[in-house]
Amino acid sequence: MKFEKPFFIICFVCIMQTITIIYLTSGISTLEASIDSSKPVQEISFQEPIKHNQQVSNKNLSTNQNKADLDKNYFSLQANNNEQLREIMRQELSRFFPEKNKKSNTQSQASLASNSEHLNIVNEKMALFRSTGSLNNRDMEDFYLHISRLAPQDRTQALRILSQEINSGNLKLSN
Amino acid sequence: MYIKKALISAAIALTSSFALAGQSNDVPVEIDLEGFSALGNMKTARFSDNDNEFIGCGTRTFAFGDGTSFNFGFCQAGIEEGASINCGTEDLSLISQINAISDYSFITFRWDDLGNCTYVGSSTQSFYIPGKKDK
Repeated sequence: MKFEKPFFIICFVCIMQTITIIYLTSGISTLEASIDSSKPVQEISFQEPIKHNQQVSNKNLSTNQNKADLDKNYFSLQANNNEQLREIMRQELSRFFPEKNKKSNTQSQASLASNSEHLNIVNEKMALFRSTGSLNNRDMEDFYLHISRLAPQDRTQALRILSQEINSGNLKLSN
Repeated sequence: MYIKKALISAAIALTSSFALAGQSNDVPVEIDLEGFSALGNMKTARFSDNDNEFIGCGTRTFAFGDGTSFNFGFCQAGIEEGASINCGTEDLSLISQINAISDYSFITFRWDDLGNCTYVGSSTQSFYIPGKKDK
């Protein structure tokens, strides 16, 4: 007889828990019903280039034919990501430096456009070198000139790609 | 009379060649693709019978007029036709080392799989300077 009271209390708690679970489960199913599955979920903008990059990477791993595309995509995607990051940083900085904002915005936009332009030139020149399979001193100096006008991280990358192409035998140095 | 002249000429010729004597080291260009290293001296490469043999380094500086500049250096070497090795660097200490290379120096450099120079060495000594026989 002593154990009857706690037993009933335990039973009561169990019943209450069951009721609560049933209530919550019905809430979830109501929530699920409210989601229109026909509408696609909007992706975060950063995922788009990453996804695209992965597709390009997978495609190019199997063949060397499209190596130029990979590098071109690398540069363009890097430029896109950099542009987005710079825009975010500009917005954040403008809160602290509202007076300088207008001037620096114009300057940075101009330098971005310039960098993008030179990236395209560098990519085009590299594609041309690959197609001819060689480059002479004049080509090299011209290439260096365009590399010098890139953003620092892009300069480094461009120099690396040039070295890698020469070392792999894709580009031959000629007089 | 003719024999006397010939002997004198031979003596002069021998004396002059002795005066040019001195230790001379030839170091042909070697490229180790597995060890990512190359070495050789410019004299040997330049006067080699192999027309494809070369080794050297260079630097470039672009000044933008606003107080900033872009400096980089590179080293390259080759032995076979159409096959050469190249590395680049923006490291100021390596660029400084490249600038220390002078005429007829012995050169050695290393690189990584990304094409970055990781080591540059040079040595400028009398035995690397070409003698008459090299020309």
